[in-house]
Amino acid sequence: MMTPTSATGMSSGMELPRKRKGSMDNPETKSASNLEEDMEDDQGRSEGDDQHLKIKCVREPHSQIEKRRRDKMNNLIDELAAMIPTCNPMSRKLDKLTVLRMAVQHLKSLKGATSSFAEANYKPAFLPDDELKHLVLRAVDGFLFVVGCDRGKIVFVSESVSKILNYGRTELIGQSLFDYVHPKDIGKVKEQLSASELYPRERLIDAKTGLQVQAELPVGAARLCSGARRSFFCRMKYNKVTVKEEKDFQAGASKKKESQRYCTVHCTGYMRTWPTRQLGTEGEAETDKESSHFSCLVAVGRVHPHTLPQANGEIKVKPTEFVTRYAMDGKFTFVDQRATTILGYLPQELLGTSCYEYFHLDDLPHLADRHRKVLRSKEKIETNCYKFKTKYGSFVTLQSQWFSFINPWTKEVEYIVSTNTVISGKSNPGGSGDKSEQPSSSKASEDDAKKSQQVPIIPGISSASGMIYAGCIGTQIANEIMDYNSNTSDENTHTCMHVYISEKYVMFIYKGSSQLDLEGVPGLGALSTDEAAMAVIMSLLETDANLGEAVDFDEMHWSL
Amino acid sequence: DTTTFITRRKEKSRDAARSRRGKESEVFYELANQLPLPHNVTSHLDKASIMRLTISYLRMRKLLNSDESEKENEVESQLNSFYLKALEGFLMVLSEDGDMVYLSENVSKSMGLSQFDLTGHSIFEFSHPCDHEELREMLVHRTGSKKTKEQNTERSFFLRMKCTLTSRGRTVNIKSATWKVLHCTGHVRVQECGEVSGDSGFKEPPLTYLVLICEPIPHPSNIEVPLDSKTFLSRHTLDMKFSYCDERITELMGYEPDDLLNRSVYEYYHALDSDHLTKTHHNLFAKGQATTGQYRMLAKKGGFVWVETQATVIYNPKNSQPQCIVCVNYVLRYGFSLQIFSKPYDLNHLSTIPESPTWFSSLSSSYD
Repeated sequence: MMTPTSATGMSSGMELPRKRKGSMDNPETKSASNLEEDMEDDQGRSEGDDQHLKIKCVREPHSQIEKRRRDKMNNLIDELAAMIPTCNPMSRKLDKLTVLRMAVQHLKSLKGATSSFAEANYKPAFLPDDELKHLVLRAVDGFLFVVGCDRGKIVFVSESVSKILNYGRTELIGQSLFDYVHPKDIGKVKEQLSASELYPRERLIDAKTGLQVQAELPVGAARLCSGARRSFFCRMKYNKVTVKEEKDFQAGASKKKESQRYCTVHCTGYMRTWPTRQLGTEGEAETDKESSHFSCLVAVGRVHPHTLPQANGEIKVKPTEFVTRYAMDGKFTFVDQRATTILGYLPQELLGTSCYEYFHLDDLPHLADRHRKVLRSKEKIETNCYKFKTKYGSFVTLQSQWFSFINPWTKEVEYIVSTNTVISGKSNPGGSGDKSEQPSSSKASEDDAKKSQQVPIIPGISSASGMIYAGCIGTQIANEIMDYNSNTSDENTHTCMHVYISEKYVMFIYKGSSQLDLEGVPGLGALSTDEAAMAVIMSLLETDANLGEAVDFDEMHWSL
Repeated sequence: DTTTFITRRKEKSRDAARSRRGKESEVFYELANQLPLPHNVTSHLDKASIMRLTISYLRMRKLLNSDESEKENEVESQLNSFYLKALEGFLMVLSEDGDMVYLSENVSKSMGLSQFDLTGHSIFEFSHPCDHEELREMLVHRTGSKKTKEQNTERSFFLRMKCTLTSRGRTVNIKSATWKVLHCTGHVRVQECGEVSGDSGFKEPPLTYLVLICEPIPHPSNIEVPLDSKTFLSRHTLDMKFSYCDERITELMGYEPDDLLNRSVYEYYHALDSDHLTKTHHNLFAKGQATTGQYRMLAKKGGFVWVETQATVIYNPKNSQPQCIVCVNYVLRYGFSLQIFSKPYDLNHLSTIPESPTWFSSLSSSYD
């Protein structure tokens, strides 16, 4: 009569043979309850099974299993007691048997109250059909309709249609469905109601390859047989005037013009054949002269308001962000993958290069200042908007937040973390489309590129007689702080100016010491004379394939 | 003597225990019979299941208690059962803490597992762990104060549940269950329990529950329903570039299938829908299937058509790696009426401009 519960509490109504573990198991399907079952199974396993599975399912002592089962039963009893009104007010906990007995009584009392139990053709159902229907309508915003396949006559429609389409039930019944379907969808609906010849080909997909397979299948009979399913979308007329208002106007002489508004209805259902005699007064029997059967579509029409896109026209654009890390001197030590879609460079192309090589000239003073600041501060430093040169030559506007990470042991700056946000959406070749206000100079960069321009003075970096690579600024700033930290009095009052030679190259002229700090430039380290350094740099320029045109050095401004 | 005394005591306690168990079994049997279930179901239930089902039954009674039963005529009553049958999927009622208080009988048709095997259990035992967080969010309903805006009660999400049905329609053991993606749509409802229970005058707090229709998304290799002429199939590589397109698209959107090959589908999405479609794609890649709801796709000669798409990831049967994506696209309606454009896409919210469509300067009659 009663079979013992398994540890999972699963009903033993599932009388399926238990498969051997490891045979067809998908590890993903394991869950807590499955593991409990597994544990029981374990007791019957042979030695030869997978070791790792054995480790997972440790053999539990029987007492543990029993204890869990008892706890589960007790929990269920408590839950049950909570549901029974007579049990609730009891201050003391009732024993199991009493709870069960009260439950029986309670169910008996409910039986008397529910009408469905009294019906003659009472079919025991956990939920009677009418309540099921109510539940369905609580879940979906829809209505049931039955239409004849022949002429599309609406044989039945549920009351809930008034909530969806704003038409009363009575005005729809007997009408043709096609009067309420958008003209352009009539063909589609006709196809669905019949075994239409319009789409004789079956379009199938091969499950293994995803490729379409054409198959000529006899379509007719199968499609119309009772039970055959349908699922399609169509636009149905939606009455703008509310039903209530219409009733008010019934008596009046005003002609209410129906507004032609449509809503998309998702119809799912099946074909059903009715013997004509059952239809009664609900509708005319549209039958074949030969048969006494009426074929129709029984379907639920649903609207999905939540799947409609936003109506307000607002496009939510998430700010594009990426993270980079610099060494103290501004050289990239880490570049987030997201940078590639924004800047065009792969991370490895940027690593080891100085960020100053990419900053727009106009932004250099500001950024150098921020760089200085972040090395001296424990706080996050925000930059203004600035332009960063992308791989393709255009500039993208960024705004960054910099933060120095200080090694807690050495108290030195290990690296600078930069969280970079793209301000305008795309790299703007002309820079003229920016809608955002940019505090930094936002002249169209490319326009200025060709002209030699005012050389910005970067405070603290003096101009020198030599020339230097762009990374100098960063190095200089880093050196400053190291000197500052080590308290040397050596004042490197170097000033640096830069000269724009071409789109690609910025020459930095570094004046002040005979020893040129030409870090990072191959072959330039520790050259003693400016001229020698100049010669090397020129040779670099000449060998660069991108530098097509000759450089006119007369245009360069030297301040010596 | 003492030994006999002890033995007799043990016997007595054993007898008492046996008698208790016997009485218990009797009551369980009675309780099972009181449940409105067919006898062949009740006779196979174990004790835990009987309690589970009783609890669920009583919970359902509470949820439906204050419903006004409309007067139905006979025809209407006959049609009550049609609602569920017409829907593609099964009904599920979840309590606030995720217990499956009720599932409609046809759950076995979609999932293999039977109605009464699942009733009363927690949904978390039968759904994919990675979907649990999302599920918990769906169960929450913050009513808030009267001043704050009422929270939307609609729910629509994709859930992977255990399925013991094979593609051939056979049933396997729960341990060999696979995950099936279900599109769950419905509402969160709050039920006031008006009755005052017992003598204590204690009024029960309102019950929050979730009523859902759970529909499987048809696998493109196994579509039961006929696809009308307003649908087209497309196949995509995993980055959503077209690798194939049904020729039906030509009459629906103007493109020749070749126009689309190797073009990313994102080029054709309306900017206002991109947010929603990105989310749908995340669902698609995480779960294996998804439906998009209604969105707009660019037509060849400008303007948009409204589409709803069911997308499925196809896996290579040999190595279980994702191979491609197949989409069943239902064209719902032809959108904006076409305007005379002076330059490509006067619509400033478009983020990309496809290269191939031809610009036109007059109204086309093939679209709405």
